[in-house]
Amino acid sequence: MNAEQIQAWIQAAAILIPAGQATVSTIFALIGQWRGEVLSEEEQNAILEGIKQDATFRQWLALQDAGMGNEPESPVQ
Amino acid sequence: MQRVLYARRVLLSLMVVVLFIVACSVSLKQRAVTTVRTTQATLAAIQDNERAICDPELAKIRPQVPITACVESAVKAGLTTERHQNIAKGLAVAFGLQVKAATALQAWEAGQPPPKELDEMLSTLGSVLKVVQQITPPNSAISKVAADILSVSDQLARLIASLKGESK
Repeated sequence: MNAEQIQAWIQAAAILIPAGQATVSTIFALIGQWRGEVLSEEEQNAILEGIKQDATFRQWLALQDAGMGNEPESPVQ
Repeated sequence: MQRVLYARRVLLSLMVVVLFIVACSVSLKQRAVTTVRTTQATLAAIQDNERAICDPELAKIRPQVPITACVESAVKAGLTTERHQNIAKGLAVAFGLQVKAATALQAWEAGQPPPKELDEMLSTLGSVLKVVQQITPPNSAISKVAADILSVSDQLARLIASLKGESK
């Protein structure tokens, strides 16, 4: 590995560290559920609706990245 | 880089442990919802990390904009535009499955077995991540992350398998 590649991976590490912090936030959210937080049917469906919206937007973004997007307009995130 | 990868592996392992703890204390549907939510969070992390390496400046823009070509520093590190596009194709399939699984869970009624879309989503997700691993540069941060996610998805699949036969 040459100096330029090492520099590139240092930059990649700088990006991955904040992503790790986001993962910690997710873990704490899950621990909240473990501590006896039972979600109602409505709350569960609201979470699922949020997942659908996020996944729909990210699918659109991935298709655009892949050069396969037919819809130029972004769906509401 | 080794420390970052080690920390990421520890965090992902912790997520799996927490998932199993959650699985022991809440309803079957809530377990499934938690599983799909965790899968969504990990897929989003893969997409964000890969895009940030491909083009760090464009990746910072909010709301997010498409990235159709990788910058020189990414190419030098082994992430070419062609690889970026192939990873994006795999992620598009995975996010489509997430939409399908979430829709099926919303329609899941009491007394019914777990929706088959959940099994389908997890098994196809495993296949997608294997493809992502194959098209990422060997021994790179991205391929190691994909390997970690694959390990997590395998364990999630076992969790779903353990749910079979239970009622909601």
